[in-house]
Amino acid sequence: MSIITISRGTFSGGQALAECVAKKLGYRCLSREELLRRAAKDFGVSEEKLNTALMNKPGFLEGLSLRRIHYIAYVRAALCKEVQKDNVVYHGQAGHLLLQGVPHVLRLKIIADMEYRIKAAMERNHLTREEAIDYIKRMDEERNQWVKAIYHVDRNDPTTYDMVINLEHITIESACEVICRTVEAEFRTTPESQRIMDDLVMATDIRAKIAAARNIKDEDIEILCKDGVVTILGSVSSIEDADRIRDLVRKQPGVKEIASKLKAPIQSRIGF
Amino acid sequence: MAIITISRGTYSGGKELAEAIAKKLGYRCLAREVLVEAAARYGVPLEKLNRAMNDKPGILEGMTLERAHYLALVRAALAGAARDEQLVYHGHAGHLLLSGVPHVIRVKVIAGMEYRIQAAMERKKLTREQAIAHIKKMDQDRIKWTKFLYGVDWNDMSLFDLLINIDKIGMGNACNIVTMIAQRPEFQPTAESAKILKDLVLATEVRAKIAAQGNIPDDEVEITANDGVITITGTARSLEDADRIREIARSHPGVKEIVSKLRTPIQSRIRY
Repeated sequence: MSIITISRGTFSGGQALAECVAKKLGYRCLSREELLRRAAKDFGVSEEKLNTALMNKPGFLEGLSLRRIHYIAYVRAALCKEVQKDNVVYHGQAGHLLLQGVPHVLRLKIIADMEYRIKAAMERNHLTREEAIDYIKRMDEERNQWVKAIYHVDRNDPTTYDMVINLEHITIESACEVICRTVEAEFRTTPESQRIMDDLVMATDIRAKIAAARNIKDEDIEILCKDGVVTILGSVSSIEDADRIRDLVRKQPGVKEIASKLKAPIQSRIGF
Repeated sequence: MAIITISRGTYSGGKELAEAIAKKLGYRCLAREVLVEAAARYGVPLEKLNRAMNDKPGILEGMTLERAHYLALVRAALAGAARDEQLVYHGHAGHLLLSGVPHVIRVKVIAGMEYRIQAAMERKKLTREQAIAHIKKMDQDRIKWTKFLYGVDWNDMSLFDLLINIDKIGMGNACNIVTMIAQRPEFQPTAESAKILKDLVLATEVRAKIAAQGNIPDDEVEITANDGVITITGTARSLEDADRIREIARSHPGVKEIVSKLRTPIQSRIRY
């Protein structure tokens, strides 16, 4: 009873591993593609747009645009909802970051055998060896930049994962075995950890709904939930926006209380 | 029947893990013992060897010949130990010293900062602030040291087969995971891996013997072995040095043939 996130590179064998683990544990296997489909449906945006915004690294001069922030909020809310009921293996980007703080999530990273990746890329994309190497390097680099831009985290920082498995020597079968054993031993869902998950579902859902209300400038706000108490953090550019956000939160089912620590321009000025 | 190397940051529980794995598998657990063996075998003071392996390089100091020599001695001692018995090595840079041997499992243990602070406070009787400062300094030293001695990045995950975040996975589970992998088919010695290890032992022994002379500028000499055939590549400073190196290799037990591709200054000059 737990959630497993597998971060993987292109052509890494991560998908095969995820499927092996899901089958062995009887869990549901959720791919990044499926997640995007779900988020697109839930929030009424095109899957392709979502994909483009989340896959392509930000342009040279482009910061993190408001639209990108919104899309991430959608994807995060969708992922939380998908895994709330437990027993899921998610393989795709950033699962470990999107589900931060939930104790029954086993956060894995897969490092692929470079030879394996080259062969897979050559085969699937009909590339020469040189082209394949070039392609993989470019994809890796883009992803590094992407994760850095969006989550301010180094994708290769080992401390953001619970375990990193290198498939150069360890076979997928062995990795699968190890993961199943670890999950059964250590990452079991407890009532307390489920409560944290439920709180995260509520917080990310509210955050996504604020994002979906297109008329609010919400790039600097953050929503936290604990047992039905919603805390709104950050700053907005007008008192009207702050009111809109509070109204929206108040209307959400399950909200018992709102603690708003939102700073609007005048308050900000007084504060400093 | 694998060889396990455990790399670790300070206060990350690596030593305990190594001991637990060795106990469970009935392997020999060693770290500093390799230095003792190297010192005895090549007649150098243990204290000097210890300092060469542990002290970080001075600000202006390059890779001194002396350090390179000591490293060669340690490498030969470790390769010999790995050939003779099943072992868990948790001393310096096992994953690099034994690189290329297929049935070596290269494990790295990391821990969250909180775990390490607690461990440092407890073991060294430090205040929290002292412990933090101590760990930061040790980390920086280690990064410099690895870069300096081996030219690799200490944080590069791809140098390991398995990376375990100990405060998330837990000591007992980490031990189970590693012992499980050690028993998987891909880490059982084969005729091929035994040959690679045997070649490594011979090459490192010859290399160490040259280093143990102390007075041959051999920093650009590289030795490889293949079934008793020793290939010497690189550059010697003089024809006399090249002769001495070849002679040492020739007289080493187990060497059947020498292929010398050593360049000396004159030859080098002709080439360029």
